[in-house]
Amino acid sequence: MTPHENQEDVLAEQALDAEDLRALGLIRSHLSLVDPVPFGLGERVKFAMTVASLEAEIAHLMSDSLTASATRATEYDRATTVTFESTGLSIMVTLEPVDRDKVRLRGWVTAPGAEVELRERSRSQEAMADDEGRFVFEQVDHGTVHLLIRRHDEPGTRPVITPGIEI
Amino acid sequence: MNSPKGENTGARSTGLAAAAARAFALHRAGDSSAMEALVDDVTPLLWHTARSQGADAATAEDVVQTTWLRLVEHSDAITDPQAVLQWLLTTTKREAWSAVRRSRRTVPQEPWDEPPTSDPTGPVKSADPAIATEDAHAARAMWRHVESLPERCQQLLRLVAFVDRPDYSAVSAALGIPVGSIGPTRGRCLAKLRVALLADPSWEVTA
Repeated sequence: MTPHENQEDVLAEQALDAEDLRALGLIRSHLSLVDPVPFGLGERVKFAMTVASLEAEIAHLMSDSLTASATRATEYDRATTVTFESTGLSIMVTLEPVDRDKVRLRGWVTAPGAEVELRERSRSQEAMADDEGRFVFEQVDHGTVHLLIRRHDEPGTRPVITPGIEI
Repeated sequence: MNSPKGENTGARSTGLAAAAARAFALHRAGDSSAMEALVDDVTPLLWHTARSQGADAATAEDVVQTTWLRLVEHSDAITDPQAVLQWLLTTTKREAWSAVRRSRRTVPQEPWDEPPTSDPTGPVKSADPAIATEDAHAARAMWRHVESLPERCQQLLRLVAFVDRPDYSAVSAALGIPVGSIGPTRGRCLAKLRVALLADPSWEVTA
């Protein structure tokens, strides 16, 4: 056995020390810098999992007065409106600033009495659409949200989920 | 990954495998939000798992998504929540390896038998000069030493770098490297790295 191999054997049997942890920390720093996890991958995964687990239909974005759906506006000086459609359902969403941190989300869906769930990053809120299909969430944080609509007027229909809405 | 390295304290000392077990149990009990934090915590590890198998960025992203969807589909088939992290790692590795093999149309015996130079995953971008601090310099120097190690050790260290001690064994097992490779002892790969560092006159390290 060469001295080199012997040194490796000895080192391999020793306990992990601070230098090892530093080495691993530097490896992590390097990889995080040169090969970062793609932005938004976690959110895309969660959306795909939600759709799969609910067997939901994804509504499609029809019109968008947000200049681009990916734009995360820091300030709204006017209300913005987004429209989605699925096979049997249309959803219109209007966003208005409440204050610096919160946005009011007013919506209308072509299914009066539907159950509307607002999925935020780490929580969800629920509302019922009224007889005319209107619903409102008064306090919505900035971030990506999804609306999940469950209708009760037509039994057997799949829930409908919107793609991410940037608020 | 946000998890700090080094000495573990509090809840973090339980590691990702335990967090995954808890989240999965809650998920099965009907808590629809239980998996969300887990996706945030584990996705970086899965990303680097796919990349270390030779997947390009687009493939790696597909593989990571597929793996999580499989977990939802097969949630009834996983009997032991404690095994969820390892299941995620193993599935990612297998999916990535198949995807890479399909795209290459050749069948390498084992991914780590390939010459390191053929590794398309290797980080290629140069660091942003604005963040080329002393630490980044040290990190690059460290990476050069890692690249000199056998492929299998590179794979192991890439992943171990993204978890804390309680998860070393799950990572080793998922890569098919015997338990005990790293932790509590330094193990073969970190020992090889230490030998390389000790032989580098520009690197200050004590044996």
